[in-house]
Amino acid sequence: MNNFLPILGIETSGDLCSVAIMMNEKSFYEINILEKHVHSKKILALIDLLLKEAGLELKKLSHIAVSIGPGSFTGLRIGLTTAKGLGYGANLPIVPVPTFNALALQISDFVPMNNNFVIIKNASVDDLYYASPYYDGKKIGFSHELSIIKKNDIESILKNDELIFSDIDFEFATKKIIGPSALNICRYSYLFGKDLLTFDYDYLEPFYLKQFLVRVKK
Amino acid sequence: MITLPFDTVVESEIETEKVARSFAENLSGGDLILLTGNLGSGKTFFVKCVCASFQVNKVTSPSFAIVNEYVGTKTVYHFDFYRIKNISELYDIGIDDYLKNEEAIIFVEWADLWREIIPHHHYEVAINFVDENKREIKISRHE
Repeated sequence: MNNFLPILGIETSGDLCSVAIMMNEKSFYEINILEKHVHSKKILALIDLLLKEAGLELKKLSHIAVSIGPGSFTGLRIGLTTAKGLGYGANLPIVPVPTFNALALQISDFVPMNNNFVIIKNASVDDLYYASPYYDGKKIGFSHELSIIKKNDIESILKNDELIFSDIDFEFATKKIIGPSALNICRYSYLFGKDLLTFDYDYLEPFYLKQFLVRVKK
Repeated sequence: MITLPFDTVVESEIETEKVARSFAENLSGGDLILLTGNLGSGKTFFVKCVCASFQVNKVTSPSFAIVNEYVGTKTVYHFDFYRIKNISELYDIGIDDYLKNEEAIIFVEWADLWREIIPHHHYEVAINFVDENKREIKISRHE
């Protein structure tokens, strides 16, 4: 397992600009900035700072884990471009981490094992991301796959007594979430990333769920 | 500021400019304005006149570039859907990020071609030919 550490994690799929280095199961370095439109200016300086603080050189990393989406068009491009550039330069492989799986892993720390919970995130002006995941100790599963729904339809979809996590303030009860954090991108990669690891990332693209659905429909 | 819905017939560019400048006072960050009207009806000219109120003086037609970005006292995104053949082209230029921007004012010419991508909240400016020198301008707000 040790040859899969340390991991550099990058998360820029939303307003959170987060970078982390997971050293091992017990120690990590992480910086988070919650601010719109700063990701491209901050990210390389933050990674540089983290590496220095951790006393690491880029080439000593095992791989780079990057949040692959869905999420902000520009944000995901910033993260993936950074990962590719650094990875290419230091000859490191990349693990593209599904953003909502990492977020589910992050939330599962606070939810009893095997319990379903709901994640709702802002997708666009009229749309939401909606998913109902669970963690059974071995994998992140979904009792409702990640999908896009209309904001107006949300209340009819929710069931009673569901534990809801969202980045939006609704009238119904929700727990506010920000993230996933870059540490959880690293954690997901550490636990489940082995099959996703690739050196062949020239054509690796952000995962935009909406575009994907449009193309499938065609 | 103008009271909506608004409907008038203008007989010169100067009159159009007056309407546009008053309409500019209705607008704030995050507003989306759709423009409909045939080729040559004056959609781009109307945008140009509104933008003058925000100290933006280099408005050109975005037919070729799809979107132009201007920065004056406000940030303005100026789209033209005329050449868009498939909705995936709009996703490929990150339309959702533009539409989600709460600080910018967004104009979309030929929005009729891709209605499904347009959020519920928007203004609509319809410019119709009456004759060579007259245009009917209708402005409405959709919630």
